[in-house]
Amino acid sequence: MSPWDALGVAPTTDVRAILRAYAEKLRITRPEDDPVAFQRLVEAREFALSWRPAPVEDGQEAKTRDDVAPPEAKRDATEPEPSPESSARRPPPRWRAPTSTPSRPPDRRDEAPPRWRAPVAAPIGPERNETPPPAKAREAAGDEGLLATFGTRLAERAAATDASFRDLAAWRTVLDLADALSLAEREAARGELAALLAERLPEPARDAQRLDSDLIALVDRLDQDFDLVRVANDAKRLPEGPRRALLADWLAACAAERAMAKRRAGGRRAYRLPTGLPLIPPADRQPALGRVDLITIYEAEARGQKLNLRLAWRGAWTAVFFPSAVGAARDAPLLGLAALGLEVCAFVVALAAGDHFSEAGADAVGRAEAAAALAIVVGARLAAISLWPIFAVRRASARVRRADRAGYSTAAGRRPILSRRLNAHPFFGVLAVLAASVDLLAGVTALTIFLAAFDLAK
Amino acid sequence: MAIAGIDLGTTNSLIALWTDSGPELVENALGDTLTPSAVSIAEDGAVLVGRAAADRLVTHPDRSVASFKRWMGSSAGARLAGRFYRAEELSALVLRSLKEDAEARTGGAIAEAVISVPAYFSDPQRKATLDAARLAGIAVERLVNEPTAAALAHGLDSVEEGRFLILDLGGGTFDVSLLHKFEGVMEVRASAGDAHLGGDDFRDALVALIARRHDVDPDKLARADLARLMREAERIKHALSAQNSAAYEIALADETRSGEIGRADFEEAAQPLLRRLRAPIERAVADARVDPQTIDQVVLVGGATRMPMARALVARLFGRFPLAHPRPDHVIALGAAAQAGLKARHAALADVVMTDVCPFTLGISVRDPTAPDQRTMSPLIERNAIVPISRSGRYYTVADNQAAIVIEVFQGENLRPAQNIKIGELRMPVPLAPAGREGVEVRFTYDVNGALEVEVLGETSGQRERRVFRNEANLSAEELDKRFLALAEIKAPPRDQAENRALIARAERLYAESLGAQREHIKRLLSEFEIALANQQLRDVATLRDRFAADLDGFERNWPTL
Repeated sequence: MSPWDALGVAPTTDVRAILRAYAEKLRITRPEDDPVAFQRLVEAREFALSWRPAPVEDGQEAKTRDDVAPPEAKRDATEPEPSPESSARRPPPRWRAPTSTPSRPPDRRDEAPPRWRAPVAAPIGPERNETPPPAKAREAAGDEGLLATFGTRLAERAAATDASFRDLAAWRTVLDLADALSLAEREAARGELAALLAERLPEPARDAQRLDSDLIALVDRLDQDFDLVRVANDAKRLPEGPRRALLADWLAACAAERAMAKRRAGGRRAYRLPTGLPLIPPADRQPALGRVDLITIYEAEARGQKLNLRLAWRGAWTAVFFPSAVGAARDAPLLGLAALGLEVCAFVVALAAGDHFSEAGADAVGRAEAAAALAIVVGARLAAISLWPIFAVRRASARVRRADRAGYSTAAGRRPILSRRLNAHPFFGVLAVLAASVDLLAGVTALTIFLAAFDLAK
Repeated sequence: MAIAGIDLGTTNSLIALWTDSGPELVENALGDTLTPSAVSIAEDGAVLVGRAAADRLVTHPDRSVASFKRWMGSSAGARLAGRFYRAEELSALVLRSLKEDAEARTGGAIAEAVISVPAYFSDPQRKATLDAARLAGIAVERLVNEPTAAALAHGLDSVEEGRFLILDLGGGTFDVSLLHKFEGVMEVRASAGDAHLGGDDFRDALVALIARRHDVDPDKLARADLARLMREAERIKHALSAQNSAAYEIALADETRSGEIGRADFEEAAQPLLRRLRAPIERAVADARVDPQTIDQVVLVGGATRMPMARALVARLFGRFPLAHPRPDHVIALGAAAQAGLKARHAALADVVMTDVCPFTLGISVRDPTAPDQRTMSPLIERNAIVPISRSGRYYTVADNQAAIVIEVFQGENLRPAQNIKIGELRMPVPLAPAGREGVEVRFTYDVNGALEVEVLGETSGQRERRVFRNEANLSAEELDKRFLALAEIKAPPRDQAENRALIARAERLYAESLGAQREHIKRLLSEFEIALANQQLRDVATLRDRFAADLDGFERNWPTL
């Protein structure tokens, strides 16, 4: 079924007729009832609105229709598209510098749409504001003036040396104009500005500790005023390529910086969940720490799926058997050392209790020592179970904060600081294994001696 | 059975019913249509919602809370009188109070309700809103985007056809929508917004301004002082809409500070906020692919659009004066009620068809072809596409012998997925093959209720994987039940007492804010009133209440705006 059949009209460029037909069909194709048919209808309308009859004499019609549109747009307007599918995928018109805009009286607006407007939009309904109010007319006279001024000031910036380019104060001249421009002018100004930035911003060194803070401040401020993200992400307005990706990267760095500033303003609490557990599970810390995106994801997941509790559970179970290994492996070296000390102590006490055994069994001292050894072992485990999350959280958040301070604007900048954690060192892997064996040895010895001393083994 | 639309706002909430003659606002027990979104726990354990709770923010800051809409979707909340309340629960208390008002009006239960949310509310925030409705015992199937609701209300109101740009600056959110009305069809062409920009931010700018002038740190103020300062700032903000300067006098940390703030000072302090107003407007206009000149009307709704600087900004952008809606505070609720009526297929709306858009881009994360170590968004549903919509794309492996393709679904406008919101992921195993040989087809289907269905089809294996990311609960079912029961235990005072409660709260607030002889006078009135209440002398209470209210009105009129 052709789009025209779907709408129920003969091919036409009459916007009102198309919309009327669409409205009629819409009443029997409600979006809630038949989503598929509805989507087909919407696509048919989009196609119909952008359709133009094949010209009899090439060029002439386009000339009368629109003499300022870029060549790409002209081709769109003259070539009928074979299907709505391909019309959606049509190559977008390139963004063009706005300085070439010829001045035109405002009442010719439907003949000569601005470049950034798709060819479909033509006014329907009664013509309104035929005579613009006086204030409007005055502004229209100043229109080109303001935009031209903006262009000149931007050109000044473009010609500036690198040092002056990154100086935010020097951009005052441009920023001052931002408020005075009208919507259409701002649209043009934004494109110009984005093109200039994409041209002038340096490639951020991938392994740099941090991006140039002056430039971050500059891009951030310009983004606030001109909403550059929209241009940078829009392939229709900035040509695809490394320069566009570059601008997008700078803007992403600004966003990361803003998020981090917010996090820092939130203080210590920002790195901890309300339960007091670490934001990021230890298994995933290596890649995750210091990356805003991952922290955010984990935050959301931990809240939603109780990931934190599962993690705490796992840690607690490990601590039952290997209290000091938990310390070494889970970023709580002090706790690990303390537990290790206790385990060694328990082992020594248990061995000492062994000296007080005779054939008849253990004497009072032996029994006391055996009980003490078991108590120390149990105590170490209880301490590890309850304390490891606190130690781990403290270290993890300290590291994230340090990374924030030292180089948060690039992932590469964060990595060296974050990888400088204690247990990232291979030594700690060995230590964890050693600690685990000490834990096991002390635990088993203390238990055996205790059972033997009180004759419970039978 | 009534059909209702609810505007659950940051500062005020409203409920409107859809009737045969159109949407109608419901008044609360105090006779107001606006119920402040504030909750306070009284000393006897009763929960106060609305005006009384808003007044108690000053006198009992540790038992009262407001502006909790900003916490929706996060685990943040407030501790009131020894119990922790999540934002969902606080919202549920407000919803419950609105529901009771509506039920008192109709005498029956609410059959169908639609709640409005800001367009840029993310998935978890939408879910939290639905959770709140569930906790309040309201069955809500559909959320409506606030700009859509505003557009719908305006579209139904106005007789003319054409293009309307509706700007809604509320207490906590800013929404923009472009409505095209033709041949009885109301088409939302684009909507955009900022979920963290509203009248509250302008008030906070004033708070910061006053604090800076008197060299105090707002973070270090006592809660009561801060509440008073915020209230004063709110008053100044309102006063500056009508006059060029406003005087203030406020006791902070046992020291009375006074001064005067002019409109220009306020505008300077609010400059960064004004800058943020522009981006959503520009996005909406550009996305709709409409020449700003062909927009027939620019309509301002939302309480904060009363600020002259907001109007001036819009006038500058469009080169003409915007149209101020006569009922800026009510539009969203009226639109939500209309949406509820549409959904229930009410006879009065049989001729109206409305189409909405998806206000954000949905896409998946892929490897950036220009920088192989970076990821980039591959959008499948572009923002402001008309919904329902279904779109698909093909994606291929990037490494030799890749075992699976992971489809990570993101919502947002940034080129780098890391800066967007992750909705979820799917994993599709593929046969081992050289890079680029194996692929999957991914189809996104976004329906009118805001549910996203993602379908992945393995190209060679023919294996199919489906996942619906819909508005499911953030909290688990048991958790919701538990909290529902807990909330059901918290009783609101009977409706006929609401007025007395509100009056007492107001008197207490005025007592805290005033000094000297006035203070004594309020105290005397208050104790007289409380004695009458305690003695259950109903007629006395009624006459006393009127006199009391009149006296308090008199006080507030002669407040230091002089």
